[in-house]
Amino acid sequence: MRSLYVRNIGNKLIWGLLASLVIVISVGLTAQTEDTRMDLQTKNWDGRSIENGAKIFASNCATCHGRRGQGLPGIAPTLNSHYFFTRRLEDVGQAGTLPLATYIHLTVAAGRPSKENSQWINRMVPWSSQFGGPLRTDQVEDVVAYVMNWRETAILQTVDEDPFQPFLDVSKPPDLQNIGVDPDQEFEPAQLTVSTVLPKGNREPSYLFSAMGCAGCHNLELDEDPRARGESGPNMGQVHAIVSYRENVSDSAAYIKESIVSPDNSRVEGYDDAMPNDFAERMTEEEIDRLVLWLLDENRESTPDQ
Amino acid sequence: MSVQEQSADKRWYSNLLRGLNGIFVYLTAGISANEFRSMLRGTPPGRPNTRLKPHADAFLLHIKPSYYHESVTRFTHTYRLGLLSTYLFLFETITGIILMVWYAPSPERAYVDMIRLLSSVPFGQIMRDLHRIGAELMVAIVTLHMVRTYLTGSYKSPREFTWLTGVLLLVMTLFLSFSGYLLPWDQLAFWAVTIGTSMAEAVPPTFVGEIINLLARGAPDIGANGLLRFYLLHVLFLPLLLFLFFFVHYYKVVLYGISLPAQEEEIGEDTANRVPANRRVYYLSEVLVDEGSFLLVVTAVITAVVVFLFQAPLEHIADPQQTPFHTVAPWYFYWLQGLLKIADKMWAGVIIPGVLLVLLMAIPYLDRNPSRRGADRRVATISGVVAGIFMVILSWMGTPSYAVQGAPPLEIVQELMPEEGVGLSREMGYAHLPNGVYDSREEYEVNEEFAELLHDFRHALESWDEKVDDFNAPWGQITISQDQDSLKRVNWEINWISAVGEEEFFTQDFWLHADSYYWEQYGLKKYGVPQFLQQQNGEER
Amino acid sequence: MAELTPAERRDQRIAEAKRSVAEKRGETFAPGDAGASPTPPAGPAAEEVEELGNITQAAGELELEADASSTETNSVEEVAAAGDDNQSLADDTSTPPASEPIVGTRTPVASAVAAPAASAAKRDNEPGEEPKFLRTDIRSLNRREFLTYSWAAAVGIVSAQSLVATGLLMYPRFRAGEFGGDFAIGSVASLPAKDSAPQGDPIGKFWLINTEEGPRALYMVCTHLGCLYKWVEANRRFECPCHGSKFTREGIYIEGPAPRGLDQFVVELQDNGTVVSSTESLDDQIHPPVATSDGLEIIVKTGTKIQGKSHS
Repeated sequence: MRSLYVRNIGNKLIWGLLASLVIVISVGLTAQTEDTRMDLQTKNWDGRSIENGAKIFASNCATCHGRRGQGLPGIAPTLNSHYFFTRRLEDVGQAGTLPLATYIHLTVAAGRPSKENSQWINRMVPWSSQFGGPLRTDQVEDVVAYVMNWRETAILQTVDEDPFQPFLDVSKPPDLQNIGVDPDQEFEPAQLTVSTVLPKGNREPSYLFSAMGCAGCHNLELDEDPRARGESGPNMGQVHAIVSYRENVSDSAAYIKESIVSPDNSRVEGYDDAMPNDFAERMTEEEIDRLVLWLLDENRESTPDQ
Repeated sequence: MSVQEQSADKRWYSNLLRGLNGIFVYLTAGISANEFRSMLRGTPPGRPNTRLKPHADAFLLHIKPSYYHESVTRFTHTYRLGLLSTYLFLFETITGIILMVWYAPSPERAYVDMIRLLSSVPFGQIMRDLHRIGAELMVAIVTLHMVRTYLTGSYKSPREFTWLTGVLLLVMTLFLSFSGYLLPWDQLAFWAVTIGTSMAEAVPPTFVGEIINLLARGAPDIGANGLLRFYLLHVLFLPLLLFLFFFVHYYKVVLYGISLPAQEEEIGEDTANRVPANRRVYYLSEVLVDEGSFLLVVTAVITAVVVFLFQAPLEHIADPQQTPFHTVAPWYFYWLQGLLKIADKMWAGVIIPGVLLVLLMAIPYLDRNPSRRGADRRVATISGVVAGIFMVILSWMGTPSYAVQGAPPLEIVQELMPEEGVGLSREMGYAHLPNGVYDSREEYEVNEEFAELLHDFRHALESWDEKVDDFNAPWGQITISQDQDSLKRVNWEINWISAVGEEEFFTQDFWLHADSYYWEQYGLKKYGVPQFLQQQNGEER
Repeated sequence: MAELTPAERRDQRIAEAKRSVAEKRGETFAPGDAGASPTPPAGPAAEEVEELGNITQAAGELELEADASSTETNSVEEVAAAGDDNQSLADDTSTPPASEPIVGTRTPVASAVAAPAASAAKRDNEPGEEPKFLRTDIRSLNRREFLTYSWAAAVGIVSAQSLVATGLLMYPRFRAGEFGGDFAIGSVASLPAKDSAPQGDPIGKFWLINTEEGPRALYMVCTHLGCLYKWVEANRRFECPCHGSKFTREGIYIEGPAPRGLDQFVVELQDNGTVVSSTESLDDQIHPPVATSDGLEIIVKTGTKIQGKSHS
């Protein structure tokens, strides 16, 4: 029992020497790989930023800009587009003053006010908490990283693949040879295959369905059943038979009209309150009635007119 | 004839050597070069012993005793745990100060600074890992130090006050470690600290708890003010307090000496001042080398572990809007969390820990048993062991495996692809997740890793089916689609029949980027990082 | 006592100390004799020392000859003080002055035997004594001492390595596009015309100009006191608003208090990452890189600055 203490200092010294050797080698090896490690870490955190951005985009932006950034005619411009990555900055007169990422950041953070005679029905709201929106600055940056990540594939798009939707705010046209417009031709908005904004009053239901942004959330082809519910809003494929699958509905036309005019009263469980409650102001009563009839028409064209 | 003339006759190098020796004596605070070398060679000191002079003249050495009793220098007597605790405190101070260079305590910058530290500062990651592992180790070592002191009965007269300050040091160590938790400003940090500070809210009466909470957080919830306060606590206030109490503690240790093994020392013996000459082990140079070598070995182990094995986790940025599933406190507070699960917040969070703390500090005053021998203090030993076992059980109850159970589909997805951390899906990597739709009820020809994931998915569904009544005939579907260039979307969908026979449905989306590395995922860091990345992401890329 | 000068007082103290040492050894102390006529020590001590001398000679051949010889020199030098340069080592040790500390030294073997009460160390510190760095018994390194030195050196290496790593950690690094880092400003083809006004880059803090020789990047800050000079199109030169220093478009000093021409950043022309040509400083002149092809990428390295030509 006595003296387990080793008086031999030599052994301890050797232990100390070995330990020093281990430290020197470990740190030395680390020094060797630091550059590679830092590169990988940089990529890693960029990648994670894109992952975060994807999540935020899916829950906040995809409603209008489309799950794959293809945009929604009349609602929100396309982002996953050759035009967007190559010409957009020039068209808004910012080429050379800011990089596209900054432009996107500004737009997401501060929003874009709607303009008279714009083809975009909804205004892009400010998203950054700086301007009263719900997202923190780092989240805005993540969204920007996600949108910018479309660049790789978008610039390879051919004319036909580009889901380009022209911007009416473009005062002077780009040479759109890549998106189906002859560069030599004089630019006129009318030339573009875009639905211009029709005056309020006698617009077609199919036009309204896309122009009011309904198509962003409601699918006209799929059925609404527990297995395959619409992602952001109920599907409209079998809406003419709504009485059969929604218990509290007795008069389908009245129910749908009520849903459009004051959606808060007939919110379907499982969906957040994304449906705007200002449709009564944006459409005339007659238009709403026709829209309801059109929706309930069993034989309607499933895709709305553009 | 004077001596001065005689020395003037001497050659110049004689004077030089004399001068050098003078400098040497000056630097060593009283040991000549000859004596120094004799000391290193192991020659016994002469009389009077000039090797003791630095202990009287030099500040740092005067803190240390000039010799120890041979019996206390046995490694198995103290395991050098007190020394190690002190060293880890120093180690944390140094690595912490270095880390402060790249850190600003504000919510806008803290997390960004962490990422910069990891991705563009050479040795930044290793420094962070060292600091982190040092902090966890310090908590463990200080606790073990206390356990050792308890089991050898070393807290008895005259060392009662030493024990009391030691308990205070343990509490400060816990707080020091915990206050550092918030600084990276990630989800782990934010929610662990939210849970911790909300315990303070339970201090009765209600308004006192609220005041304490407001003082700690600087606001009703943790934000910029809370971060700044925790930062100041962590880098300034607690270290200073700990420093102060450390010296009180250490002064007592030197004053009364380290307690001898119970067989050799009766209660109340003054062992530090009455060591027989033949049992003395001198600090210079034997104990110094012994301690130095021990600390070098510990440092080497820590360094090697950090370089090859350990990785301090960094989760998503703190999101006050979203609590991650299965949020836990740090491991050394598991017992408290376990207590909170079975008792009221006021009792478990304040009263019981407070009483325990007072009891712990009062042990030397309560234990009137005059003997330190193990045979004479069976009651103390057994109650200590029982308390330890209780602590372990409570800690286990503090982990998510006890009494916290989410909905089965949530648990299944959490297991395979958690919100925070890694999980099997991320561990196998981007390249091993083939695009497509995979139904749990069918078999697929896929790569080995993904087959394992599908197998685990199926297994989890079955086991939860057995475990929970409300979860019947489940089947799941993993949909992997290419969302963007080098970005995949992984959709988990689980269907089941509830207890009342209704069809239920759960779905959750995750995204995985090709470059996302999930560093904390690999238990064993592969040396040579590039090969590892290749291995992780397969050869397809 | 009060009448004594400081020197006298010192002498007195030394004499006192010597007397006490001599008394301890059982010798008689003759003040004044100490330096002039050394007396051989008493018989037994001399014998012992003779024996020690032989041992040390043997040890000196073994290891650390340098150390050993320095000890010898040390001894010889004392002999020289006694007036004899050519004595052998053995003789030397056998006839030291009475005050020599060497008398009382121990070998590792003899340590138990010799070692009079007044230890060597104590005498080392006495004024007027010869310091002995290497007593005869410790001429060579033993294993333990050698290990201790290695141990201390290892601790030193570990600390030095940690210091270097910490230094690297604290040393700021600059990403591309950040002042201090690299700026990619397009290909040679996209350079402005050779006589056009300079293009400013506020982030990189340089004016980019294209010349007949090649592109240059002038650091935006005046070499005088650090003001930002401006391009004055009317005079086609740079003028500093603070103290009126003027420089040509190429950054050559014209007039004013500035001590030298404008500083320039190194401009590299790269072909897929390999440097083809870069700004060089030769014969006190700054030569821009030579553009051999239009496809080369231009990189301005704002971390590397060449000072302008001094005119004083």
